[in-house]
Amino acid sequence: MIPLIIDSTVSTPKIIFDLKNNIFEMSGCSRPEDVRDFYNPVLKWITDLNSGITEGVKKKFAQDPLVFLFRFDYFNSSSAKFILDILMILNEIHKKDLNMIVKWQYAESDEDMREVGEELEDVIDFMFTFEEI
Amino acid sequence: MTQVQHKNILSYSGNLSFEKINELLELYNVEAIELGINPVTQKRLFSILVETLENAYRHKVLSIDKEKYNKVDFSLTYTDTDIEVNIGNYTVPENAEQVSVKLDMLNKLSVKGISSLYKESIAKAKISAKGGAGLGLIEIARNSRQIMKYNITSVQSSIVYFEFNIIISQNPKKEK
Repeated sequence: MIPLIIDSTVSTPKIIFDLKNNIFEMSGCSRPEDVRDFYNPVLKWITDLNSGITEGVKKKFAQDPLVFLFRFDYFNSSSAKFILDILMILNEIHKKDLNMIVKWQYAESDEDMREVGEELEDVIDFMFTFEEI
Repeated sequence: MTQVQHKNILSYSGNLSFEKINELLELYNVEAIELGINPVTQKRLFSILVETLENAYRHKVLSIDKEKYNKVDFSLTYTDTDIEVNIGNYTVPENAEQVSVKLDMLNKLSVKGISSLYKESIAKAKISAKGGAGLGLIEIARNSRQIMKYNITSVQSSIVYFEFNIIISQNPKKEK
């Protein structure tokens, strides 16, 4: 798959989805002017990844898991909806027995960001690894 | 009776655009550091500002006398104990009514209740034509953790002026 790389701006997060190098990262601030315009290509990439999970892909991550990293400083309420949609697809990928970890990183003392992560974890019913940075 | 003195942090009166919101948020970030607002309050307030400004921007009146009715009156002030956000904008009566019903409901909930409602709502949320997910007021409530006040003034049959007042404590407690 062709990697998806989007640089961060003052209102949009950095995105790196790179299957070959096992780098899956969403980080920074998310409050795009047009949330659909920004997140639809991101969702499409994850949907394509889900459709392309083969035995070969599972084998690739058998030893070192696919690590999906969320490291947000802030996201607004409409971005939250899209982040949940991404997590829902990750949940489907996980159900295909792909060795995968969702890492939810949050800044030191930002308990609110951890709590949002826990709420999203509850909604999708899939365990995250929480990490204070 | 002693009147609580409100000091101004930021204020704006005029049309809102996405660029103007960016500008106001940038100014807020600078002022928040300068005033030494504690980091938890700083982040919660940032979230309140984003959601209130975006709400006002999304729900502005588009059809009648744009110059006059697209205007937003916004202020951010502080006292020794609290920080207060006031925002007033023109909107259609149906929207003001929907917001007031939601605010009345949110004002009755505890922090745990708001968290449960958030999980329930995000699972069902759909992005509207205006780009909102219907979660903004829940987000404001859980960041403010205080009663949210509002006032609706009828301007003409199809337009009302909606004033929204949100208070956040300078020293947040864990639970409501």
